[in-house]
Amino acid sequence: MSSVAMSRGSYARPIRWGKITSTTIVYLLAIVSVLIALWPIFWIILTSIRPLHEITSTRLQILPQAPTLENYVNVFTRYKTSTYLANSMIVSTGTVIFNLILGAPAAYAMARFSFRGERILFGMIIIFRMIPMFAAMIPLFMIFSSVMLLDTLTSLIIAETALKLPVTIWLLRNFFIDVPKELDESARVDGCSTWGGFFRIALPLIQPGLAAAAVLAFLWTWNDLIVTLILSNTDKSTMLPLGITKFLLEFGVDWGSLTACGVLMFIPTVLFVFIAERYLVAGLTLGGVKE
Amino acid sequence: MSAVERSAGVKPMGIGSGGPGARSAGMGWGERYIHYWMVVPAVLCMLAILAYPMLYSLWVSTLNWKLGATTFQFVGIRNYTEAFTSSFFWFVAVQNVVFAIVVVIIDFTIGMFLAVLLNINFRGRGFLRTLLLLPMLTAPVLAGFNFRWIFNDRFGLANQISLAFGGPQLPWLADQWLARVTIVAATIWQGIPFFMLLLLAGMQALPSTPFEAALVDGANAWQRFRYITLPLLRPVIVVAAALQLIDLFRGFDVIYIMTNGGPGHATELFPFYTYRAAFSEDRLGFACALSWITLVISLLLLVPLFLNERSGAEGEKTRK
Repeated sequence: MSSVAMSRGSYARPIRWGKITSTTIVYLLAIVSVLIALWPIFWIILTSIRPLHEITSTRLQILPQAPTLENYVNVFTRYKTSTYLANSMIVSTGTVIFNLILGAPAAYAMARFSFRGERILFGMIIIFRMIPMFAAMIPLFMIFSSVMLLDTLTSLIIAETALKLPVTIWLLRNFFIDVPKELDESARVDGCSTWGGFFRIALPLIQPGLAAAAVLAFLWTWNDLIVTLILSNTDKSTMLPLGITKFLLEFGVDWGSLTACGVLMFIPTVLFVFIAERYLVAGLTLGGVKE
Repeated sequence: MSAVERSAGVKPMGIGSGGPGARSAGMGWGERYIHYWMVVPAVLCMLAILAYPMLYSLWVSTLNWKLGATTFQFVGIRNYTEAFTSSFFWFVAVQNVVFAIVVVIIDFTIGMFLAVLLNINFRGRGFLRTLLLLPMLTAPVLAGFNFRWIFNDRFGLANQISLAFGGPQLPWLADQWLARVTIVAATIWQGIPFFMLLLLAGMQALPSTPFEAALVDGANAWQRFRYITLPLLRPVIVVAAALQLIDLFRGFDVIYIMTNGGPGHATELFPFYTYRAAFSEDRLGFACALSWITLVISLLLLVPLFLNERSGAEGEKTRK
């Protein structure tokens, strides 16, 4: 490709200049798109370190004139943010654990065996990935209220686990397929049971897959509003996405504390994006797009 | 490769399905049905927590049920007929469809631009890709608050900029058309990376031969994009658009945070309508009917995916 381009352009003009201009344009476009794309995030970070009189000002000031951390203190002293944080942490972690426990064997079976009902399972996974949340959540609300599980972390973990399972199974299945079948077959020849081959051979080999599935399940639970909105009644089971709406007060919005809480809520995304990004396509499309 | 294709395709028989006699007689019952043992916990979980509630909601959708009431009244399909004959339902339907189409078109255009940019080989493009993904992994609640703050009618950035240039302060979230614009802005902010990611993955999987041939024939960059990249990417575009459309009929958080469906009902879409019917108007049956209508719409949106899949599979076969 490059040789064709060279022979066509080499005598017309010096190639170097063209290359330098096009590289400059590419970098300019890259910088501009990052600035635009991340602007709302920058802005919320900037707001979170402004004192109140700067927040409630109509004058345009990009950078805070008197940066302060007082909003971050208020987040914890004036609101029950620590409870919300703890709840979010417990539910997201619990969801991840149950997803891996339930999802990994299922994914392994789907990757290794052909069995009756496999296609139905695929259909289920695809449909459950895209059901309207309220189709499941309104009846779940009624069911949980009849068994007195409303407003408990248990109910949140149960609901979130089921909602995230389809994607977890799908992702892990793709990883198991990439493990050479001969490896766990030879383990079996050496006297391992299927479970033994699964635990001792296959599972250790797909550690990156487990990490990816865990991270995606964690983030999507951490970010999810609807489940906690419907199943939580009091602070005792409120997760962060619902907790942050408590900053909308009767007399207006406490934007300083709200943005500070938003920044805290955003931290896992930044921490995990580098692990998550490589597997996002598979997780989001359930194999609809080849990579 | 798709779900359907993979499971239907020839897969070397795994252990446990080797048929009778393939294994030693010592294989126990547990080992013979091992694949079912492995699948059952996950399947039971999904059936109990997702499938059962959905069927239950289908039953509730034929009832007239108030929250906390012990008695209910069977009304058959009246909840559905009420939905389809009410003008407000059609108002929400049109609003949701137009919203979805507008968002998908904008997402596609900008996402394609970014995918083309990221498809160029330059130093730091991996990092750029990661940064551009951040909006997608941001909590929708947080995205809602970001934009609600930026478009705040008194202290928001949008109005600060407008004031700084001597413009007017606009009531962004109080005017119905401006509110729609801000909702679209927040939604596309989160949706663009999705298109970017999928289109980029598609582009990087394209064969290089057609491009080389076109270069020899003297096609310029635009012609190569228009006549080679776009047609070859068609399957990816269909998948991305269909999945995105389905999610646009599920979107709730941003609207709940930014406008609460208002002003009036100017930003009310199906999920919010369902939520309001269930928890503000206390009509669980009607809400369940609405959620089933949304589900059917989502399933209809899946149809192009499967057709696409089939034509893709046939294309692959003929190429061989």
